[in-house]
Amino acid sequence: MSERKRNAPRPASKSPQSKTPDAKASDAKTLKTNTSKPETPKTKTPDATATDAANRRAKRPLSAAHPVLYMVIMLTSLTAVLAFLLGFVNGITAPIIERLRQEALVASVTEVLPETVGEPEIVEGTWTAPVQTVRRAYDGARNLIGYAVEVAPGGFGGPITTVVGVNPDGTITGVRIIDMKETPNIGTKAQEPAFLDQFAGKAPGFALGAGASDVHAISGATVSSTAVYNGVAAASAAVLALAQ
Amino acid sequence: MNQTLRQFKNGLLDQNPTLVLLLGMCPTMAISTSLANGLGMGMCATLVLICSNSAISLMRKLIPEKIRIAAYVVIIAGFVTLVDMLLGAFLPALSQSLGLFIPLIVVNCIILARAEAYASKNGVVRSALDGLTMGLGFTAALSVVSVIREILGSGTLLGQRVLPDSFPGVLLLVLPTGGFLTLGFVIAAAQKLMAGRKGGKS
Repeated sequence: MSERKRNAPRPASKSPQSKTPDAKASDAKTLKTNTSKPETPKTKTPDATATDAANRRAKRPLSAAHPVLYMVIMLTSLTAVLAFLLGFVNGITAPIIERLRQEALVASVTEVLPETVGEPEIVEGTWTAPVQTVRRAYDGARNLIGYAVEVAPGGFGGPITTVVGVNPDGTITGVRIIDMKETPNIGTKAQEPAFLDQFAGKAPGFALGAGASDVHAISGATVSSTAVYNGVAAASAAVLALAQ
Repeated sequence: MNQTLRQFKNGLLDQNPTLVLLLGMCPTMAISTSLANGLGMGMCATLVLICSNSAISLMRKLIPEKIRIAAYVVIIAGFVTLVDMLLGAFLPALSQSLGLFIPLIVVNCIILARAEAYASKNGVVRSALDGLTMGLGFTAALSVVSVIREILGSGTLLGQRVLPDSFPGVLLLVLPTGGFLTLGFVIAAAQKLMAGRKGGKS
């Protein structure tokens, strides 16, 4: 504030950023300046009319007359403008992003259940986490070939959106990761075929472990491996529950 | 023209944000595990740098000095979110591979540092150019570290196998520890090279 008072007699176009080092040094003298010039308009001067009159006389911009008020107005309007801009852009992009996500989801159904013909239909129902949606997939003759279950188990860096192909008897046909935020090159190894292909053909009740019939976790990425395993196991369980 | 050349030299060598100013260490550690990641992060950061530098330069006379940092952070975070949403909607393939890094740009101190050190004191064109050159310097340094870590850590380059399959890859280099070690060696080499260049001139 002090430099503005000092600047007051000068042209009002003096901007805060063009401050010279000597003006900065004057910050330290704030207290002295304040006590020696009590009549200088302050932001919180009780005598508002006197301040206004002084402002009109000096024709100073708000930034010089009411520095604190100016700061509040500036930051509020800056934030408001950006918030409106973001809201506007989000209104345009959110539906597109959601549509792309749905397309990726439907496309991955044919990867985990290759015989699928046509669009799989959503099974109505309430599912417990990590299961998100369940879709029925049919072949060309409209025979049920299995379910595509979307699961989102919690990994190391947030939910891992996964599509699991499950036969009506609960056997896994395939697993695809749609989206994950795992550590690059460590947790992201859980989306590679070397790990995911282990799940194909596993019957309900399969385990994550070291046995010959178990799914082997990725060393160094136990959390991500376990998350994917939990998601696939939950998908299998959901389909079994549906069959009963 | 001369100043333009000097700005390029500053960004890439003399004031390289990563190797000389030692800014943006966190994203450097986090993403320099493969060249594709390094290039992607570098390009995103460059784009945001150009945008935020231009915007801050345009508004430098309006923003009161006492709240400038808050104002810069709002502008930078706004641009990053904007870039994130637009990439997600219109360049989904790029968004898929960079999705992890875009939020990291907000905390990249190179962007705040250039706003404070350059854009708040210079014109729009110069500031945008500063964003470009600093971004390129960041990308270049990131690429060097990424290449070393990807080849020795995973035995690949841009996802293609370059070392024989019998080479197991040094897991240490993929982990953040290896990032610090690699970056230390790269900084030391850069300092040595630059010191030699200056010595040769004088």
